[in-house]
Amino acid sequence: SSGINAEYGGTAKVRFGGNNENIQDQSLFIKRRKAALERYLNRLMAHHLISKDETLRRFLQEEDAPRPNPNASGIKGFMKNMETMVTKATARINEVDEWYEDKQGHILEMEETLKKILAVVDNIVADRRDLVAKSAAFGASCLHLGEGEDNASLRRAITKLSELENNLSTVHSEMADSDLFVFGETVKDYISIIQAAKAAFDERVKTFSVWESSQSTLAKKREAKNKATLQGKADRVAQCDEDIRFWEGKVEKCQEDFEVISKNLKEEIRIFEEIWVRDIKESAISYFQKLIDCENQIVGHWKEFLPEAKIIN
Amino acid sequence: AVVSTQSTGELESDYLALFKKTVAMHEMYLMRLAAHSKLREDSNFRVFLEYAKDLKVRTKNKKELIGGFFKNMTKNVDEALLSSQKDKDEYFQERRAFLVDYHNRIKETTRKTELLSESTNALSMDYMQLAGGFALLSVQDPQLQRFMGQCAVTFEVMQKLQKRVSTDEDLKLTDLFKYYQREAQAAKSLLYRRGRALADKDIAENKLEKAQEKFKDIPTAEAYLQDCKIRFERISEMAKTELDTFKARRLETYRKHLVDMSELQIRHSQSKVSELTKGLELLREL
Repeated sequence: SSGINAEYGGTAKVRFGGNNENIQDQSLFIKRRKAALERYLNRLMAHHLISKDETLRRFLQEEDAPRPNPNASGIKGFMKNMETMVTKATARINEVDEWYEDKQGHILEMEETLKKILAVVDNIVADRRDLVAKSAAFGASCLHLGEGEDNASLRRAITKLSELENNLSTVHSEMADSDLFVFGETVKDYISIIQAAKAAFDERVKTFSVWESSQSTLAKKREAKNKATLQGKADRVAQCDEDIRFWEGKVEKCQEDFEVISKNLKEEIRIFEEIWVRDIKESAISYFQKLIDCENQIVGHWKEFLPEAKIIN
Repeated sequence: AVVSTQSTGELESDYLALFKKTVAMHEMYLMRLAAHSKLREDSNFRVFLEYAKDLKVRTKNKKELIGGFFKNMTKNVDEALLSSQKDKDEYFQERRAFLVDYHNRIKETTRKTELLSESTNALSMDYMQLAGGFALLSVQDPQLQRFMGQCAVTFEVMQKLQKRVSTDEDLKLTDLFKYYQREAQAAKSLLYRRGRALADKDIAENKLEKAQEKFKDIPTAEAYLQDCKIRFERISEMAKTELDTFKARRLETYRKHLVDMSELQIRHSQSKVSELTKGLELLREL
């Protein structure tokens, strides 16, 4: 076959999920992963350049399912690359435009805040799932208690209380899902995107480094020519001239590269900020809506129970 | 770690909630005593209710501690011995079986309610932290300043409302079951005391038989038997009254608490809906 599998030898198969033994955790994990991948693909396709990428398009249109390639480096390899990318960027740019430093600082600040928020969301989800369990357990004990009641209306009421708590438990579960999916995942996505933004800034620094080093190489070549000229070595002077011409070209190219990457970075960050504001607002609004919906359900359940409590006699 | 993140306002409201709870429990107890035909006459009780100045509070002294300890021991022994006691009176036989079973069930429910209450409370802290997160975003991002500011405000209110959900759940549900667990235990104790009286009466009958056989100490044995009979009849009579009022009180209290609980939770959830809706309208414009 001539598909992606044939050309790239398949895709990387990655083991996720840690020690997820129980079925609920596994299915939750799959749910999250599926949603995250969908959002990722949507983001890729929304980008004016990436959406035109040949490989991506072929991947999306591929008939065959991706086959696992045991030799592909997958996540570990990707992460290693990210590490080397980030650590190699050490040059100091004398910025004419303070925008770059300011923006980078702002993005780091944003990263910190988002990480804090994600931690809070994780807590909320955990506490709500605990509430799911505790209200279900309470409901079960009410059923048991109701069976032991010697008054018929009290037995009925306590049994209805059990029903109520089971219903509430389901609502809490829905709320936990919405905490996670509607809001938490957006936050998580943007923490990842920020990593890419950071890498882009570092890439610009590296480009500057390369430019600087090519400038210093050019200087060295000019010095070498001077030396050769003074020493009267005609051959060497000719060679040096060639070298100088080459490196002058290189320096020009590097400067061009640096200017292009600087311009692109500014543009990408602008788009990023636009999309970020739009996405997080949408996310927050959906979250509010979901909470309203769930609290209304809670009102409904208690209203169902109230008459049962009133007729205890 | 929880305490250090609470503001003065939160500590105040926690204190108020606890105060409310304690007052409610005490009120229930005192009303109970005042409604009791015998206990309301107790002079200590009257002094307590009518004393104008502050009463001095002290912990149990040694005598009371040791006395309490022995009382517990004998109670457990009694319970063990008398749970197998056969009672000719069907009413009491049935009641004892009911109470032992009911007490076990309600003990379990009380435990589960306490766990539920803790869990409900944890959520209010989370809402506070989420409000904090929104506030941070609002400060750091000028484009999100008003939007996230509003989110923060909404969640501060959500935290307050969640706290109310939690304290009312505690007050109306957890305390209800806790109280009736103790009442069921008290009713059990009463029946065990009656059982003790029955056992004493049986022993007294045996003693009289033996005395009659040996022609020795018959008047003493007869007098003792008489005492035991009277005591047993009196305690049986009282027990019946107590058990009837126990049932009636339970119905009334459960009804009141469960109705209150429902109305409060409806109100709190409706407040949440209204706060979120208000916030949402504002967010849509920002």
